Amino acid sequence: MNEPLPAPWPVVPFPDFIVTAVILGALVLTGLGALTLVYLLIKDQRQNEIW
Amino acid sequence: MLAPVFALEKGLWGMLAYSTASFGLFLFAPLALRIRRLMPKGYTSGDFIRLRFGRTAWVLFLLITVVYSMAWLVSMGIAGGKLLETLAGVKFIYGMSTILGVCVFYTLMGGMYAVIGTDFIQSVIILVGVLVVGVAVLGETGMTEVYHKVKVEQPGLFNMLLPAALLSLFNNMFFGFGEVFHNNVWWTRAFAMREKVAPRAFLLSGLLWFPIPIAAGFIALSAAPLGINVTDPNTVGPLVAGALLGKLGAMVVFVVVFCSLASSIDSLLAATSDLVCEDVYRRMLRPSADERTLRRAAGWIVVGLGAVTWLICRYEFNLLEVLFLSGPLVASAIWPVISGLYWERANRHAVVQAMLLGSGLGLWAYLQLGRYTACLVSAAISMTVTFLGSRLFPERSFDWNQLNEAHS
Repeated sequence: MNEPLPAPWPVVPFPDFIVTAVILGALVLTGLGALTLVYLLIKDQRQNEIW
Repeated sequence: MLAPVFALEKGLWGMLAYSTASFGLFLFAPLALRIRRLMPKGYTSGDFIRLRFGRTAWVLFLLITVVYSMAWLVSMGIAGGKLLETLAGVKFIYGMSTILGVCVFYTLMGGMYAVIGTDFIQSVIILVGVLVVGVAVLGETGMTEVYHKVKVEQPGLFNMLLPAALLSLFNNMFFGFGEVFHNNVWWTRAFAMREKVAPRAFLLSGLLWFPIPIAAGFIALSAAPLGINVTDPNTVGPLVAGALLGKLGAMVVFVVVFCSLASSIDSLLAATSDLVCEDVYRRMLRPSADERTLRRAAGWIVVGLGAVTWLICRYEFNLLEVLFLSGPLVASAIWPVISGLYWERANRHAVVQAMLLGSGLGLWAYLQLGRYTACLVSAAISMTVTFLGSRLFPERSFDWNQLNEAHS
């Protein structure tokens, strides 16, 4: 009576290592992005091209 | 702002769906170079459509872009109001009015200069804030724990065949293409940059944007393993940060979200006022207006846009409905812009039909089939009509020098 209903669509989970790689990769890229922006800001302060 | 919501509803594909907006920026990099070369004195995306495809396409394009920009502005205004209401207990109307008022004020005072300056600082704050909270989550729970908890309790979120998530992935990608390719926010930046800088800047901004929705989505997914009860997906970021880093953490995320809203609102105010001032006020109403008059008009248009946004925001429409309803409109402009820039025999009537049919059938799909089919239908129809119309009824080869007359 309490049998689960058949899933309308197959559930194929992402493997653990793919999820880990995507998320850790995103965090590393976010860090690199922040560093790039700070580097550009410092470089621009020295060369005074924009501000 | 919407990235955590996407992660909570559609899991890994949802996070990646929001990241696909960066693909639009990657693809706009070569377009920006082409735009700078064809229109060294260009001013707005409307200028391009008018000179390339004539008046009918221009008026239709203006309608599409103004409706989209207003939808974006309204959804950001509502998001700001709701955020302040949920997190700080500030009444919606006061919070919404404050964020709109602040953005209108500094856009009015500093113009594009202030918008780009604040965007830069806001980007640094967003990246650092997301990183700090993401690393804190990792330190507290670890990836394996998050993975297993989500897989057991919400297996659909890591389902690589989840239909709605897959649809949203591609739908968002085309939404992003349409937005970046047509909107004056990106065209004004392409016009303002030096030719060599433009493609590099768009590539870099795509790279910077790509990881943010994934990192922000991860913060949202970690709510369950951390034992946090999420009643409103919009507030999951501050809730997780608050649980891990205390009040200071919640403040950091609050500032991050506020920055992301403000950076969109100010860019839209500046670019849309430029578009309305140049394409509507100068081209349609006052062709003889001098520089000073135009500057004053642009100021009034910023105030007017802010006021109209404020009036619509008061109705507190559903955020996603407002934004995604405009998706098919912008997706219908992808192929008109690409063909206009690269295909010298593209047919102007085909382009008008492509935008009309793409928008119309895309809206029909939105209402009849589902939210995440609209941009796909619109882009497919628009591409077919542009391609077939220009192939079957090619125009005389377009003289690219004609584009160099704008604003001269």
